[in-house]
Amino acid sequence: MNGRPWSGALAIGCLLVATALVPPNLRDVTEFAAWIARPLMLPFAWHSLQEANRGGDPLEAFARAQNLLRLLPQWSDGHSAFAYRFALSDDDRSGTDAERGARARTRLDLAMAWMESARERAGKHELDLLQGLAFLPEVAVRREPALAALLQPTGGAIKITDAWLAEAERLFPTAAVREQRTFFAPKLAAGLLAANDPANALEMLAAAIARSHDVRDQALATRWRQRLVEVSRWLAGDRTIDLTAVTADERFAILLPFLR
Amino acid sequence: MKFGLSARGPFGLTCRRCLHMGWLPTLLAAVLAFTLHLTIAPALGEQHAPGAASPWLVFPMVVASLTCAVTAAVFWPTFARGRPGQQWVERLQRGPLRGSGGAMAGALLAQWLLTVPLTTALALALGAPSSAVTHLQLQPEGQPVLAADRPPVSFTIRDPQPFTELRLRPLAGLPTSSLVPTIVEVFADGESLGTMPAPFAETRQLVRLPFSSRSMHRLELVHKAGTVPLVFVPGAVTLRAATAHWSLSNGLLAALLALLPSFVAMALASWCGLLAGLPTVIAVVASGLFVQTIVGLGPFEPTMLALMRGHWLATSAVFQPCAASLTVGSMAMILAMLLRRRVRR
Repeated sequence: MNGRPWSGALAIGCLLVATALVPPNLRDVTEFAAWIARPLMLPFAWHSLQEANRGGDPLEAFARAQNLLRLLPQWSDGHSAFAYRFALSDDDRSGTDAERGARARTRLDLAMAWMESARERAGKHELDLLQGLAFLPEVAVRREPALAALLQPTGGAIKITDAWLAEAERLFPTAAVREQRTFFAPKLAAGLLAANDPANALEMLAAAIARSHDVRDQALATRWRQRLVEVSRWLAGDRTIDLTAVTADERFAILLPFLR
Repeated sequence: MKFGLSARGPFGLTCRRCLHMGWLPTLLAAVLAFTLHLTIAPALGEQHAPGAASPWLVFPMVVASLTCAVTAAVFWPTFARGRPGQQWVERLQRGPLRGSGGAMAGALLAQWLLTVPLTTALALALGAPSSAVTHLQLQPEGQPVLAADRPPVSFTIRDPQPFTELRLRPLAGLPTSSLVPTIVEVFADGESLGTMPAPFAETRQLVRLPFSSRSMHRLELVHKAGTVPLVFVPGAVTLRAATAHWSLSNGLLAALLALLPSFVAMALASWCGLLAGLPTVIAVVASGLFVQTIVGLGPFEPTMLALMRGHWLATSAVFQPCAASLTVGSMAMILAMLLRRRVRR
């Protein structure tokens, strides 16, 4: 009986010493709380998300997905999947093109901001998030064409894609990531040409030609480089170039409207 | 005078006890829920998704229900076996349940009084719409599949009020040939309301068709083009009514419907209490409430969701699931009455 107050005081003393030696930070405390809450909350969070998909609207489902992924902050595929689902939802098709475009822009901004916020905790899966971020604007424009005009002042969806691919290449400088951006060149050039910016389009094609030397499959790289050179010279004003091979290559189909 | 008399019976005594025990936990839970709602709200910009805030309403509601039901079980001596004063109450209190029924009614009234501020004020603070609109779910007549080689899917509407929007959320089957999203045209009483603004290619893809306010008796969905078969399961077709109701009445109704889980839990507990002691009775109350509220069995969860989404609650879609809960609770009460007689013999 007499030992109880002493043992209690000793426990409190040890706790204070431990706190002084390793002061807890908010992030660790939050992570610890999430670690405890995860198994208790996850089944209900999933159930709520399913219910929102069955009876709620896309905004509610997105909010529920955010609540769910707060418990699973490192699940980058989940972030990408729910963000894409929300950004590409089009349940409300009412209003003018401009109004629909504005709604699509809001959804895209929210989805991309959320994906970007998940990068901090994604660890080695950050690359997946960056690639997801890179291609979301382009897919969103395909789903809602009125969105294209709203993205044009910032260079269009293609420019955003290239910026995110550049960030992926900076953080994960692997051959695969570099090649992904290299082979994205025709789309980016088409976006710049559509924005009436031929100078930057030519510069970007020149960069892609230089980068093609790093591609691992050199046979493929040589053919690719040849097509890029043909396009580049034609855009620079050389009308003697034969574009037969470019026209036959599906990868350059997006550039054909600008090569007439 | 009558109030004074009833206030000394099991109903009044339990009601006052539950209010006394329940107000502080309910208030604290409501404050905590609202604080958490503000601090860890999802990032939605200037938009709001009140349906996603329903857990912050459910939490204080469950605290109020649990406090009242457990208080009633602890307070009234005939709720469990071997309680102090049980024999006195068995002798003095009339009725087949020896006051347990009155105690349950008192606990339910206390819960309703505690939860009305939650379903009205807290729900609004969490972002619930200030008005509620009827969302009528339609069941297809005959086969529910819409495809190129199938007849139109039709629905009969027995509610004569005017509607302003149709919402479709069908299940999508595998395409019959290469994928071409299915286009659906809508007819109301034989007159075209228009084509759904987006074609269907995904399961549970929500598409809305707004139209000028009109009432209708028959709705038909006609396949116009596409290779994706659509299945209109219950809940896949909803009509949004034109008339809005006051959210206060929706809140009062929600608090009333939220009594059902407590009623069922206490009825089952009073039945168990004939043979079991207080810890078992409390465990039955707590687990009964947990299953019906947090797990989502019964009408509680859809009611809270409908309240937060601004759906009018006085519809058959909300009341139908209540019938099962009422039946279970009533059966448990009847069994408790019959068994109590046998136990006393």
